[in-house]
Amino acid sequence: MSDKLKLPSLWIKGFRCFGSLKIERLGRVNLIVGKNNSGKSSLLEALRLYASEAHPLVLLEILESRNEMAEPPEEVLLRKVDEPIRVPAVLHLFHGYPQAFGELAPIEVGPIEADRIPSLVIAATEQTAEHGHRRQNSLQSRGPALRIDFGGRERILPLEELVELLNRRRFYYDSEAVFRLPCVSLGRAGTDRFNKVARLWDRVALTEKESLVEEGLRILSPEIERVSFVGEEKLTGRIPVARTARSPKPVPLGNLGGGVNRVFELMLSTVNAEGGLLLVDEFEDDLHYSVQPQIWQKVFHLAENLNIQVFATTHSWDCVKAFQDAAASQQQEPVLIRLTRLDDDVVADIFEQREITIATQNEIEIR
Amino acid sequence: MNREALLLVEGKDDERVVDAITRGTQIHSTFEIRWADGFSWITLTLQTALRTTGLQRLGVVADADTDLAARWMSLRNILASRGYANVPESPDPKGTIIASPVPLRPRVGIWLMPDNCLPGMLEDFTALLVPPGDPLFVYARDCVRGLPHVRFPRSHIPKADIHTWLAWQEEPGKPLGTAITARFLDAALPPAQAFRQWLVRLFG
Repeated sequence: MSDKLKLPSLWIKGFRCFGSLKIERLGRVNLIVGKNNSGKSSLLEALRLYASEAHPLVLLEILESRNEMAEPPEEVLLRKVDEPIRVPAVLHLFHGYPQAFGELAPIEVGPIEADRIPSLVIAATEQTAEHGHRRQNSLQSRGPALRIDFGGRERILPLEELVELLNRRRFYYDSEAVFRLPCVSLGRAGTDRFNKVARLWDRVALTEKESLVEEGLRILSPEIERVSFVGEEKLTGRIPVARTARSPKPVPLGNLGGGVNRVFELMLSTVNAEGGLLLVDEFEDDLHYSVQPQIWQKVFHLAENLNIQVFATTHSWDCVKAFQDAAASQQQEPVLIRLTRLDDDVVADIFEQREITIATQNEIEIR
Repeated sequence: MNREALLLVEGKDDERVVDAITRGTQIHSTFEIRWADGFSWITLTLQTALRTTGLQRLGVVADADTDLAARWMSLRNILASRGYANVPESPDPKGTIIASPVPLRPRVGIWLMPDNCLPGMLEDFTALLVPPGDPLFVYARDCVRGLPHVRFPRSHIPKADIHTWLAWQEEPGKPLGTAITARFLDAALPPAQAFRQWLVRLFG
């Protein structure tokens, strides 16, 4: 309770669908709703950029996750920038479908009152010889680049460096390590890539947090005693298994049902986000409505104790009801944020706990 | 279900009366109705209802009760807090309609029972639909006023009047909405027409 929120409010400017999105008040736990294409995923992306101070790996990951880098990287990142239509992939991140590098308005992500908490600014610039990478003499001394400013600290990221990075990158990399502010993202159920879950496990194995994860799992499967990982990383991938009271041998978590896997990933992501941000896409995936209030309660509890700020999206009415149900017993007000497209921008409506209760009790649609 | 049009009313009887009054019009069943627990529930719910996703039209049917001006002010203040600066000082006798002041907010209609002018409630409105010259209604009113012992508060006398009268129809004990569809009450009389026209202007 005493710990301040990382972001008490949010202002996203010039990023994807957001011309100027202002969210006046954020809670410790924030449920984001809105129709398709209203900007829910973009909001999570903006937070990933913020928490990583626009790390190049996060930039690439965001572009790739939307198939915006379907062609070879040299093609999409270094096309002649003024050629019409053929534009570098990073242009996708900027608001208003800009067609040329020269006309980009900067992206800004941060709190509305930026006195104490830093903001992130990403602007287009031209790389000069001074910025050039001296280690790699193959790089041109001039070319398009991003100027990245975080709380007054500035750096230049040449697009050519992004290409290099993409070519060098292996399938395996520890994406959580690139965040300055701890930030763990959980995608939709069944979208774990590159053994991410196993890596999250390695960070908490044999610690108090391991027990917290197992406690959470018992909401769904009370018979689970311990969890571990088996399997060869490069062949089968590493797979979570559980010791249960009923089986003499460890059982793959997947064998206990999709919901168990989802809760495992959710709990594991949560305890790894200590002191930072937890981002969950489609919270309710694979979860029966009847268990959702308990799962939310667990997330509220961990967020409070581990000083985490949570951002979760949903389309589901059951999920909103479960959120409300769990929120009713909270001291620190959780917040529901609805995003709506309006003209060339997105507006946010904030619903406080009292209003979420009124909406769910009277079946007033706020999704 | 139409998610673009919503009507808040005070109770189940109001819902049934609205249903009966709009039967046969193009707006019948084109809007959702929510009710729970009187005027305090309406004031509690209105702020959130105004922000229903995709809502285009929102109606409120409430009792004027003993102090019409106070009820009007209370609704007006809630609307003002949500950006509706264009609410008139007092209700329109034909039923108030307020245009949406900002994008993504609904057009709002307010009807204060019985007729946007007098104090009263739903039962005062339905009393206006008793066929003119009906001999039993005068008798029912006299009965209520001549009771040797009164168990209900004075403010509920109109309820006692109409339900006493309903107890003496061909099928005794019909609720208000059914009494309209069964034509014990006359939905062609001017007060019903005015209410219906307001609903059509709001939801049509």
